[in-house]
Amino acid sequence: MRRASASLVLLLLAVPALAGVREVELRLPIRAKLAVAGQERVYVGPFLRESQGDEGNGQLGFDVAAEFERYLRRLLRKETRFALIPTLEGVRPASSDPLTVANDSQFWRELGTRTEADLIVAGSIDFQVQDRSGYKTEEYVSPIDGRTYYRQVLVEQTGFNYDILLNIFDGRTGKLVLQEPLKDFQERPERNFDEFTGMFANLYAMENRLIGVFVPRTIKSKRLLFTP
Amino acid sequence: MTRWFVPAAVVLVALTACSSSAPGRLSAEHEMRFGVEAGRRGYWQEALFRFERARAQEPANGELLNNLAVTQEALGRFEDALATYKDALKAEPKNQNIRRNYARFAEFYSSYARGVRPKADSNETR
Repeated sequence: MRRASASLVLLLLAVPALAGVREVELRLPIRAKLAVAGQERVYVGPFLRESQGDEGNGQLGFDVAAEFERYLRRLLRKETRFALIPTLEGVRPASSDPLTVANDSQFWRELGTRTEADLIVAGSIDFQVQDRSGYKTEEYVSPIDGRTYYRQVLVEQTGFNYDILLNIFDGRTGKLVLQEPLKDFQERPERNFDEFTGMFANLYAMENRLIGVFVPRTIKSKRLLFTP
Repeated sequence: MTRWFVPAAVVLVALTACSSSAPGRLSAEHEMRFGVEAGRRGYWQEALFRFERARAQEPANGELLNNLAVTQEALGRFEDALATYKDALKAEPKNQNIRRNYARFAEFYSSYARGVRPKADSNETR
């Protein structure tokens, strides 16, 4: 009988303790930035590499623009239902200046007519590899006397900076429909880290944002519910 | 222990239900509790029904309005959720949990509403 009373008291005490908040997870829709039906004919390219003086293509062992184009094509094939038009050889805009090219609606209209594309996905890319080394002050506790000292440590790291300006043109009119800047910076704790691997680390980090331009997604978000 | 625990719980729930509500109608507190349980299990339509009934009894209860706003959000009724969050904050402007929910909602809602659309004349497909 005593145990029963104790459990009832515990229960009565627990009721107010239950009052508070409960966390729930919601799945919320994110619209695609580009309003499309989803079955359009899409031409991917050309992408321009923004000139970086000494850091140009000469220093990298691969063509950044071509690699990005190939990657984007593969991503669109996997994640969307667009009809992707095969790449045409030798399509180059008249200017190498990304801003001038973006406003050259005649060039994009002609490309749209030639490829019969509804949309043209093009843009410019800036990829920089930043090898850095330097000294950093670090706290150090001596195992001998237990005191804290400060010491200088040589730090070597490689940074990969990716800056993309994605331009989407209407293939019929040649007009710019959407311009989306995408930026990412990845850092590796060693010097002379492989550039190719670094570039794809950037791209994988941006994949969600990149695909969000074309298709709707859902995100998970937490909210609090009050319990009486 | 369990022989006593279950009947005790049943008696307690029955007593609290009888003490605060008219026959056939649950109190706002009970509606809210059912609503939270439904929401936790993902039955958001049921949660909405419960929170709406609770609101009819306590229209200025900030915590209840917060729960209703979360439910409207879960059901994709974002305009309603925005209005209800504002009502909740009006009722309890210093409640940190409501403010946190509202901040998260506002962040989502601004990006959701920002969805870029092409101009009408360029939206046609071949």
